[in-house]
Amino acid sequence: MILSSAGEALPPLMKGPPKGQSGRGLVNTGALEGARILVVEDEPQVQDFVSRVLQLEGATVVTASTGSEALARMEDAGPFRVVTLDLCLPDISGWEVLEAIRLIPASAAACAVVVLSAGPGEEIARRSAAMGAGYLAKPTAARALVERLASFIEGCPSAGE
Amino acid sequence: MSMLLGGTAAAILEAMPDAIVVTDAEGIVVFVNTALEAMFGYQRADCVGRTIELLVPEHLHGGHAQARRSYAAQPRRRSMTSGSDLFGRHRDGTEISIDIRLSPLETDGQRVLIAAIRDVSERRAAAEALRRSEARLRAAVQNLPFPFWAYDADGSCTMQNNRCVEAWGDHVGERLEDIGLPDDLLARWQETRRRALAGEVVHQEERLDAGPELRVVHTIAAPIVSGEHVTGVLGINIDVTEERKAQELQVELRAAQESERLKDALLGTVSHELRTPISVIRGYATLAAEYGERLTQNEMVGYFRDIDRYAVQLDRLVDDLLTMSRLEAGALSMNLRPVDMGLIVNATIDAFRIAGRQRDFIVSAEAVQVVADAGRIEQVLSNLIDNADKYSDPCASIEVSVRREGANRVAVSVRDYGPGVATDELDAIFERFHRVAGSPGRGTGLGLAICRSIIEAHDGSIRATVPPGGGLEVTLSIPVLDEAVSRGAC
Repeated sequence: MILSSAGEALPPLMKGPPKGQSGRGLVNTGALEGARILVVEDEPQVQDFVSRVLQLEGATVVTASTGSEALARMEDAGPFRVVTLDLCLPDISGWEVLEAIRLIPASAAACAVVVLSAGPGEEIARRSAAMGAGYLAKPTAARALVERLASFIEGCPSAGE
Repeated sequence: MSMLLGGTAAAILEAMPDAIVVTDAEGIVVFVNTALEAMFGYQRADCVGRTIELLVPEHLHGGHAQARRSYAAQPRRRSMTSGSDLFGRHRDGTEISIDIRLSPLETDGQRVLIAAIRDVSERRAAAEALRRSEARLRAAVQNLPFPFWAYDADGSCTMQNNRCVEAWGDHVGERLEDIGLPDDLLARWQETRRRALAGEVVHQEERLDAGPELRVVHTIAAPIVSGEHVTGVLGINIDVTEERKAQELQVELRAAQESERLKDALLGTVSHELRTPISVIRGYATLAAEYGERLTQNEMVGYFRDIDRYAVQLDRLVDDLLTMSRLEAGALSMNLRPVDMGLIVNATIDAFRIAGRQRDFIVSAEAVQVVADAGRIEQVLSNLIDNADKYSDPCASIEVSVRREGANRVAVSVRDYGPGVATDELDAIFERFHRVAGSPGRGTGLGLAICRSIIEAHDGSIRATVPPGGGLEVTLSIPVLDEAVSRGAC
């Protein structure tokens, strides 16, 4: 057992997830619990990883592998609480998808978008912020993904809340 | 009318177009004609009885009187202009540039002197203007800041300015052939002279070994045209070394910037390609670590398999990147030796079958000797066959052929019956990280780029076509072993 200076017991490493609201997630706010999330990602295994983690956090996940598919899901499966958006898509760029999402009246205000990219970090972070989106660099760990999405949802209340 | 001249003589002198003054032996004017009155602005009565110095500028009076006396001692017909410019004095004091012709005449025992005077102001002014203009032109040519020279039609140097003499030595009067130019330079300049004599303005640039460094000299030679004939050639040499250096630097700089830009772009692509497998590995590893308790055994095994698969992909990518960069740096040595292309093809297909893979091959290979690195060529063919296999229906055949292409080359083709590639993408598939839209599976994106580099290292080429009947045909072409070399080597 490792003790902090305050005498509290620190959680031992690799002991499994800390207790969340539901006793299951990585964050205890339950921000992702029951949230509808659209995962836009063309790399199948990355899409699977993101979806699986979000499902394990209690979210309902819809996936899209191309930009046009993402926009179709926005229309027929929305609204979504969050969209995770890969920038490098086979048909149109993630930025175009982001602009198009902003033009859909029902989702324009309500929908939070987090850009996931393996591109040059600073530039993408700046551009994401300018377009009102969050940013998370790839490769990412499960915990960073969950925390980033949770904090972004908390800082970006949907129109319904 | 003077008593010294008869009426007839006076009438003749009066009719002369020149100004005429007649003096006695003491220089006293005894007669002037109308033309003289007009030239000097005097009336006849103003002159007769006065000494001739009336018509001479004051500053010349002394010399003139003396010259007149010595002439009177030994009179003969002569022109006074020989050797010096003469001036007369107009009544209003202005000086007139004149020519005088003196003729002594005995009449009735009296000696008189007849002076015929011509106003040559205009002629002298014109001659002076010409002289000045020639001097100006000569000074301009002499001081041109680059060598100037002229040759006549017979090939002799007629003129060189200062810079030309400094650069080439003084060769006026000599022929181009006799001034000791190196043979190749002489031949080029003879050709330049020939073209200029034919009426052409010739621009020519050459590198001359002038002392410590090569100089780049731009020569312009032009015909000297007189009427309808070319009478010679003139030309200048301009040293453009600095300009050319600056231009070359500019070109190098642009090439360096372009290469830097390409390197940046490639680096961006490479890092993206590297991050994709890392994203999967990191994702699944943290997923398994964070949620392990809630995952099934099968799920866990699946994640670890994927982690391994992507680690292998990452490893392959690093390998390909290294191969690519070695190929580009020319650091990958080719083990070139005579080998039969048909054997390499068969060995590649055998290796495919030994790996337990099922595929129907239709092979038509003739024996053709090439000089090649058999291992590298097999690597290329194996890559092409892997691609064909990957994109084909499992039941479809792959056709491989080896055939001579003209007398000096051999072409090896790998053809599949898969979906093919859009015609505007046929060249692009050999570029690094080019992805065919909608392609299944995931290679490193470097396979065909490496194939191209290897084939180019064999002095060959590689191309893709969509053959009649669809699918894709990739054909590589390399030189065959020269017949003579072949006999010697085998």
